[in-house]
Formats: sequence, C-alpha cells, structure tokens
Amino acid sequence: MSVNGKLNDVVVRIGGEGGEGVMSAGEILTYSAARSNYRVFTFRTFPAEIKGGLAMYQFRVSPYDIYSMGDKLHILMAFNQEAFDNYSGALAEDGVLFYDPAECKPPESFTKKKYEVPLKELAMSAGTHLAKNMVATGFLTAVLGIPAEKSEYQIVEKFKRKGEKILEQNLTAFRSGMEYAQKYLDELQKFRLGEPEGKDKRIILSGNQAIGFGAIAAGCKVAVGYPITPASPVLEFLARYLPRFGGKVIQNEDEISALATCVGASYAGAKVITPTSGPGLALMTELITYASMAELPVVIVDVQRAGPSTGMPSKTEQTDLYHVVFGGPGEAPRIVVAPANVSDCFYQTVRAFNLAEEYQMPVIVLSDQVLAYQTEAIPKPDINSLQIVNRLEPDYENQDSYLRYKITETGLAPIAIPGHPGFEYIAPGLEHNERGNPNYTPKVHTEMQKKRFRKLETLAQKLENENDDYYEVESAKILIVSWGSTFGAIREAIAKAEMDGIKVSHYHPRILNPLPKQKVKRIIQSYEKVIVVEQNYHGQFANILRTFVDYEPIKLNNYGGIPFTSEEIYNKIIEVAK
Amino acid sequence: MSEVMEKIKQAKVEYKSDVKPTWCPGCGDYGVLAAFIRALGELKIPTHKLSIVSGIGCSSRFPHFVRGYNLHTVHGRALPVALGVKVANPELEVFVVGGDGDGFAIGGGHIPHVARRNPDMVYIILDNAIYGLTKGQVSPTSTLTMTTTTTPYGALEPPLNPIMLLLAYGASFVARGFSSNTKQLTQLIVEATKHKGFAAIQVISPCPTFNMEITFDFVRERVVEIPPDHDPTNKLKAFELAMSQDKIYTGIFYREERPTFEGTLEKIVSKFDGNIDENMKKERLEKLFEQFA
Repeated sequence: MSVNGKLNDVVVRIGGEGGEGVMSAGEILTYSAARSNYRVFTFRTFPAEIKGGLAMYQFRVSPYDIYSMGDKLHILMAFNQEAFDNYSGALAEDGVLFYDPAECKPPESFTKKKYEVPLKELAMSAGTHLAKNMVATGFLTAVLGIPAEKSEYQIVEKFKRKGEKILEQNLTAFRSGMEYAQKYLDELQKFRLGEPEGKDKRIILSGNQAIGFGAIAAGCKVAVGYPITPASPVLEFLARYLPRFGGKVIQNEDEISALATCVGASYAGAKVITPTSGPGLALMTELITYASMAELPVVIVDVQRAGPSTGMPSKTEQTDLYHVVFGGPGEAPRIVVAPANVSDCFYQTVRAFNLAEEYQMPVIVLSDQVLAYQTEAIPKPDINSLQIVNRLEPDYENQDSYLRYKITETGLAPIAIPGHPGFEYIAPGLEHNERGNPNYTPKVHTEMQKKRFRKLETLAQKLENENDDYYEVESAKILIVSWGSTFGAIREAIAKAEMDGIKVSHYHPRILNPLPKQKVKRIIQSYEKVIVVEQNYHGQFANILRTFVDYEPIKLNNYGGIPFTSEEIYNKIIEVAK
Repeated sequence: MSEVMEKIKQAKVEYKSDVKPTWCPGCGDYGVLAAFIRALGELKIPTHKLSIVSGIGCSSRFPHFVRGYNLHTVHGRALPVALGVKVANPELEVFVVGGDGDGFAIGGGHIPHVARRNPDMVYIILDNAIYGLTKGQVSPTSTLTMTTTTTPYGALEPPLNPIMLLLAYGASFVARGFSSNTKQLTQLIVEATKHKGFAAIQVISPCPTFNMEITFDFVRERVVEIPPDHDPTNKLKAFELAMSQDKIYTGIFYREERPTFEGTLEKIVSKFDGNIDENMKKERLEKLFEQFA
C-alpha cells in the first residue's frame, strides 16, 4: 500500500538478549501506536521456541486496516549479534537494519541498508545501560512518526512506581533515542506513518482474551477448565475477571469433569463455557453428545494445536474440524463456530453463547494457537449494540403438562430452570419421550432424532439468507474457500492479486456446522476454480463440502505448524490463474 | 404406628414419579429408594428444590423414579455434573446416586476432588459389588474369591475399601448403611442431608441376580451398628472401624465442619460485589476494556 513513497504498512522486529527489555520496548510501541489510532498486529513466539536467551517481539503497524502479521520485515532492530544472525534473513529486499555497533557487527556480505544506533552508549549517558530498550523505543517512535507523548505516557506508566530516578533515566534515554533518529529521518521517510484512518477507540487484545471478553459480555456465569496449551489463558482471564460479573470459575481435575460441571451448571440455568484444546476435546466428546441429547446449552472453546496425540502443543493447525462436527457416540447435533481474527473472537464467542441458548445444544468455538496469542488493536466493541439471547423458558404460571422435549416444528421447546414448582423434568442421556422418560421404540427414536436435527435445519435455513461471510468480486473466476484464522493472510493475498488484475472472491463462513447448503452450492458452482485453504492434511472442510456440492476443490494445505503467509496464498492464486 | 405409615404413604405420593423401577425383584436398591423417599418426607424438601444426579448402572436409574429436577448423565461423571448444579444454584438440594462401578471404577478419579472441594451435597453409593446392568462382571468392590463373567478363574484384584477411601480423600461426612435396614438408612440420609458439606454414604445393596457371594444373608451375618460411644470426629478411630475384616460396621464413621465449595466461590463474587444488573455489567465491562486500551 505505497502512497507518496510511503510504505504506510511497516513490519518491525526487535531482537535481543532476554532481559534487555525487548518485550517492553515492543509493547510500549504497540500501545502508543494503538492509542494514536494506528492498526497494530503483533506476533511473539513462545520462549521455548527461541534458542539461547534470544527474545523477539514483532509488530506490524499501519494507518489502514491490516489483516495479518505480515510476511517480511521492513525494520529489524538488533540489540546484539545473535539477533542479527537469526533474524536478518527475514528482512524484505528494501528492509533496513538498525543495530547497536557496540554489540553487533553486520558482515560485509550484508548488503541491505543498515544504520548504527548506539543503544548502549546513549543509555549509559542517560545514567544506566538498562535503558537500552528505551533508546530503541525513542528511535523507532521517531522513525515511525508515532506521537512522542503517547510513548512517554507509556514509559511514565511503566516506571513511575520504580522511583523518580529510574523514571527520569528512562525518559532521558527515550528522548536521546528520538534525537539520534533525527539525522536519519530524511533517508527513512518511507517508514513514517501517515495519518491514521478513522478515529474509533481501540483496545489491544489477544484472541484468547477476546474470547474471555466475549464470554463476559454474553453473560457467562460458570467457567470450568483444565490447563492445556494454548487454551489456558482463556481460563486464566476468566478466573481473574469473571467474579466481578457474578461468575464462578473452577479448575477441574480433567477435561471430562470440566464439561460435566458445565453441563450441570447449564441445567441449573447458568450460561457456561469450557476452554480446551484437541486432547481435552477428545476427552469431552462423550459429554458433548450428552449435552446434545439432553438439549443443554454449553459453549466449548477448542483452541486447536498441532496434533495428533500430544503433537506440537505450541504450534498451530486446523485439524479438529472433523472431530467437532462428527465426533462422538451416535449422531448428535452441535453447532461449530470459527472466528477469523481477534475482533471476531469476541463477536463469535458472544454469538456462540446466543446460539447455544437459542438452539439448546453444544456450540464449539474453533480457534487456534496463532489466533490465541496474536494481539491486535481492534475497535472497542460496542456493548450496547450487542444482542444477547437467553434461553426460552416455559410460562411458569401455566402448569398444564409441561413437556420438556415436546416435538415441535422448529425442534425447540422451552427449558424449565430448576426451582420452579410443577416443571420438574429429567435431563436424560437415554432416548426418551417428550417428557424425558426412557423410551426405546423405533418410532420415538426416529422422531426424536428428527426433532434434534431439525434445530440445525432451523438454523441452516436462517443462514441461507445471510451474506456477511461472502466477499463477492464481480466477474471473478476464482473463489477461495476458507475458515478460521487464515482469513487475514487470504484477504491480503486477494488484494495483492487484484492489483495484478486477477479477481478472486472469498467465502469464509464463521458457522461451519450447520452449513446453508443451497447458498454454499450456489457460491461454489459459480466459479471455474475453487481453492480451499486449510491448515490440515486432509482438506477437512473441502471434503465436508463435497458431501453436498459436486466440485473439484484445489486444496491448498499447510500442516507444518506455522500459519500461512499471504505470499503462499498469493502464489497459489497466480498458479491457478494461469 | 399408623401415623408413621401415613407419613410414608404421603411421601410416596409426593416424591415417587410415574416411572416404575426397572430393577430385578429382590434387588437391594428398592430398599434404598424406600429409605430415600422417607428421608425426603422427613426433611420436607419440595420436589422443585430437589436435584438428583446419576451416571450409568442399575442404581443410576434412580433419578427416573423420583420427582425432581434430575439428571441421568453418562457413566462415571455424576459427581462433577452435580458439582455444576450446586455451584450454579446453591439453593438446590443435590443428591448423587450411583453404583460401585460408576463411582469407584470409571468415575474413581472424581471422588477425591469433589471430596476435598466439599460441596454441600449427598453422595449415595449403592454397592452391590458387581456390574448388574451389563450382566455380571467383576467390580472394584468384588471379593478376590469371586468368579464373574470376565473373571471366570477368580477376581484378579483385591477389593477396594470405599469407607477408607472416602475418609482419606477428605469427605466431611462418611457413613455406611444396609439396604435391608430401611429405618437406619433413612436416618443416615437425613443426617447426611443436614450435614453442610460433601456427605457420602456407602449402602450395601446386594444383587440377587448376579452376585452369589455378597448376598443378603452374607451381609446380615456380618453387619453391626457402630458402637454408640464412637466419636465421629475421630478420624483415626473411623479408619479403624472401616478396616474391620470380619464385621461390616454401619452408621456414621466420621463428620467434620468445613467451608463449602459453593460458599467459597460465592465469597469471591461478593468480594468484588459481583452480583450486578445489566447496566452495571456494561459499566464494568467498559472499565475493563479501558485496562486493555
């Protein structure tokens, strides 16, 4: 997005020794950029993935909306030689290196632009070598053109409780970094960010935090989980904040009991959530079908990680789709929702609660490791415009023959909340009649299966008329179909292809089960070529679609554990367009 | 006497559902159901405040036969389901009912954690030392000498001792009853319900169809009431009674007062003044957003 020679979309990585304040420098820049209305997208790796004591913080910043963490680096700020050695290869052709000459000597063979920034020296003159990271923060603040007062505010917030002297040293270091940058500013014009588009208030969240916020906003009252990477932060977030909203949070002895306790709490009338990842989901499977059979609302978050078995817990994949759609004893209806980005994590979680309450069944939110940890500056959700759905209860004044499992046109019947006289009923795992009493006759089982699945049909029918998930480009011959966290990289690839004159449409449903079959069929069959992008081996979604659409998907799969870059997708578009 | 009979009759009318028990004739579980209904009558628990939760097994059919807001769930998970019911609505009187297989085999991992949490609920284990619903396989309380359909050459493992486990796990009320002694069992259920905390009662409830070893006669010959001078706050003494090889003691082994789980959770909510209306919720949510801005 180069306008007037400016990049206006800058990917910055700061690398240094753990303990040198790489993370706090990155965080200060992220927050001050976000507070100045810039769009920010961050990426950080788990310490376990980093060799030695090397720490890394990467952020992408732009005045315009951005959708992914970006491909190549425009700026590398290397605190030391190790950072240079490990990360300089990730620099774009026109990327630049900033380095501390006291700690890092780029070899002759390094031909990209490089600039010395005497981090250590300037920090020492500010009074402490510990303030190196603040010199870097000041330098990058000036290069990017982030308002200095925003960064200074962050520094004051960070250091004020450490005493006046330390605060003063860090502010001085920050200012000397800014000043030092002046001599390069003419040369580095292109990194200077333009005026941010739109001034809506932004907050910075990770996907996991956004799910936690969504649960609170939806009115969740009980959250139960068992620690598992990469889903634990959802439970941790709720444990800290949910009590302020009248909610109770429990760490249970395993994932089976986590869902069991949720099911019990839901029966008693509470909105419930349990966050987990693939192995935990496997343990929950039997109870998912119980909740489906007893028609109880529960929200299960599956933050997918790379499997099978223990697999690669800190890596990403989209491999639980078959499991969440089909898994379990017998055939049990459930709804599957997949958020596309951090903002979506909030809204789709609220939607998951609403769907669970409305359709009285388990709803699984499919996130993944990358989405879980990526942070974005998202527009602050407008809670007043949120629609919150609560389960349909019977008219407690009218006690005549309450039938909890009454067979209706929509499949839905009111749920009585315990404590109301005359509406006692049993939540059964056994096949049952309308009252809930065990009944194994072929007629009852057939009718009840139809009733339960009719709820999905009712929802699918509604989805036939929704078009939010479909980005339709006129006269495009190529369609990309995808789901979950691949959204951003795909949209950027499509934008890039468009600049090359290749038109591509995009269908990215948020609800993966049930699917609006007529709509999906219509969309898929209007394109010559359909690329289905997924982070799994099978092409699970591509295959599910084939059960009702006759088409030949061009599968683009990645299952190495790291997310798709927009470049990979762009290259596929180019290949397919030939 | 007729007054007592009248009360029992009334309790039956109030609490018995229209679903007839599926148990074999002569099953000990009928006695437990009778004692349970009498206890409910004595405690005067209204059916809309009653929640009975079970897993899978012969005895786990129990919640179908009593009126209440009940759950008949999956094998081995009744305790954590009940925990959720209690946490979400502490006003409900929660009972968990199930067998030895459901509780000590497939669901064995949940007892220690529910016991140490101490939710205010009653767990009635109907122990027949056999798998009845699946027609006669060895259970965790089957004796070593028992031959069953899956142990045709004798059981391979010694039985576990439910009372000792419950004591060790920290259940705050531990008792044992016998399905044929309805009067005593009724009182045990009443006491367990009045107890503020996790109250577990092991009820020896013989299976006349599949267990030819632990029969009514076998139990009757060995059953002894815990001596009245037993101090139920003395855990060591309780262990001693539970370890008896020749006698099957019935009565209350142990009881202690401890904070309940739902009470502790409620305290955390109160600390933050968390029981708020929609408007206050929005206000707090805005404030929380600010923390992330």
